[in-house]
Amino acid sequence: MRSEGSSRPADWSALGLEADPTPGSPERVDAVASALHGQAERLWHVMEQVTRAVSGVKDAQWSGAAADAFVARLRGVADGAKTASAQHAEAAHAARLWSQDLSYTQELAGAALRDAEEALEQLASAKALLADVAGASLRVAQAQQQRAEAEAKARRAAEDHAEAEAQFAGVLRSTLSGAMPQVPVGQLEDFAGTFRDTGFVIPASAPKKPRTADSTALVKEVSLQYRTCRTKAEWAAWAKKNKRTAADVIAALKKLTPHGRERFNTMLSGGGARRGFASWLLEGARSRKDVAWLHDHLPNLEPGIPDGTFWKQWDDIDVSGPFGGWDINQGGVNDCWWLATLAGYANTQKGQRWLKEHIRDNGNGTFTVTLYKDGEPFPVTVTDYFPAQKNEGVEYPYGARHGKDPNWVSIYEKARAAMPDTGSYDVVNGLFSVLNKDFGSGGAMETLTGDRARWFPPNSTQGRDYSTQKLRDDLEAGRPITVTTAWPGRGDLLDWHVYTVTAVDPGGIITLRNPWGPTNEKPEYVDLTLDELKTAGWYFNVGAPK
Amino acid sequence: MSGRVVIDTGRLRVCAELLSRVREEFDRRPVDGGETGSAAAVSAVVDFTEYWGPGVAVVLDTVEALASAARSAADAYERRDAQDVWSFQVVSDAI
Repeated sequence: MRSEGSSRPADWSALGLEADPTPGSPERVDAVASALHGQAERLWHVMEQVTRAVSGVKDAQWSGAAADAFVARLRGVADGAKTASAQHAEAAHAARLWSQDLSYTQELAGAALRDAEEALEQLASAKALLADVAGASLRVAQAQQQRAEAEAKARRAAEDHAEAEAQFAGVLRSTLSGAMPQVPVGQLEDFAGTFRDTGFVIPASAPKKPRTADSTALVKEVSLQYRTCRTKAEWAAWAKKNKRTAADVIAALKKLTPHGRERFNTMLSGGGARRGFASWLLEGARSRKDVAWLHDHLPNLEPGIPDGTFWKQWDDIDVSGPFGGWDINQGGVNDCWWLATLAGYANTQKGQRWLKEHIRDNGNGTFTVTLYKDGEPFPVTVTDYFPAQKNEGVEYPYGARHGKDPNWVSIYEKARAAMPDTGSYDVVNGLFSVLNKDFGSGGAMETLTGDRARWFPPNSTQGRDYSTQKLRDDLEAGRPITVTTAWPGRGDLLDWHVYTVTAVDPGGIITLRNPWGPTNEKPEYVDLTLDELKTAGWYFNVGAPK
Repeated sequence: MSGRVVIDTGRLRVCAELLSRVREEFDRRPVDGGETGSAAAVSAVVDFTEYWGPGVAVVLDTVEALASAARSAADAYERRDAQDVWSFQVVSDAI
């Protein structure tokens, strides 16, 4: 049902609301914007004409005290008209933005209402299915869920509406200054009359410096820059050159209307996490609160998240060490190649130090991990939000087998997901690893240290030459070694899975560790000879020492 | 005082005419804040019009007063000049 004379629905009861959560007419707001814009243009014309009159006085060769007073007064009124024009123009701009936001929030609310009405219909039909109790209860639950989601959507629309409206009202109120002072009744007539004999004095308004829309200009500048900047270093160089900081940009982003933020976030979907912008902005945030705001309002600053998960913040993650392979317990992300490599480095003292030196707590809810790209350091900054799941009311890290909270490994994992060649947790999977430069963990080794790794299948010349002693030498030199298993493989090993070689004993028995950690499915540690390993292995990766 | 008083009253009248036209041509259209949102938006528009309505009126009234002043000044200078001419003629006739 629509309200009379309006295209807006009149009945919002499906959402449990008594009235439209997003009141207002975008057309009327547009009309206000046009009226204000027209007034701004007319006032500008007044200013121009009065300024011409100043020239006219000079053309008339009028001089003397009266002429000076007259010209001063003309200039005063020109300034007054200019200020009034600027304030009307700003109000008109605010009204245009408000009209867009109003349309946007009304669309949201309208969609929520339709969802809720549909949910109610489904609820009614489900309740009619008394014969099929199980089916009916499922449909009831689904409909209730849909209605709850619709209500949440409507709440969001109402919140966005209130926020944008407050911004509109705030801008309008900020323009309530700069008007010329009121002139007492009769004074203007007296003023004109005094010219018969002498000069005159009436109060002149102080010229007001026009307000600049600095935050809007800055966001536009960032949007333009976004087309060319690719790395955090490029963003830092741009900021330095233009005397801008990440905090300036965050402050400007906060002033955007909900619709403006939506547009900015859409722009970031082309690689917000990947283009260095997220790293530069997040690291430069002045507080945890600012980081939380960015996470909530510009979700595309984060890497893509796996289906069925949601972001959850885990604060107080300690990255001061000590780091160890035991910290690595793979969750739901299919990145054994990355984690087994991390374990390889965490297995040695030098490697542990390297990993620790390449992660920094920024103290604002973000961490910067220095990875390597094309052999050069490539810092990636990520927040302390991680993909999570919920079961029986308990929220836990995505795919966690041990109920453990995120740790330094989770940060390294997220940093890898945010790299330019991935940008999402879903991409850092096994397929990505085999398409990766240097194959499998070789790519991971190079990304972690900048040094090339080598890889070989067991049945290659290099593989056949690879002896237990060579393997021992590599481990003692601090080189991480991983083995990707073949398919079909041994019963105690997972197929097509990457294991870390953790030790070789004097008798030549090699120990592998599963990055899953301790599970009931497969052993965490497997001991085997080199021949057995070569049979079980598809290929080996050996990294550079660190 | 500048110690120098000269004027082209014809041009001053042109200037007065220019200012008068500004006032006449200005089309003051009221802004209606109804249905611009909830009470917050509506009252902001009302506050704006209550502030800037008189604010714009002062600009226009002052422009009008300046136009009138320019005409008065032109009249005054021409009248004084005419009086001076008459005075000189009287004095001239007397001596």
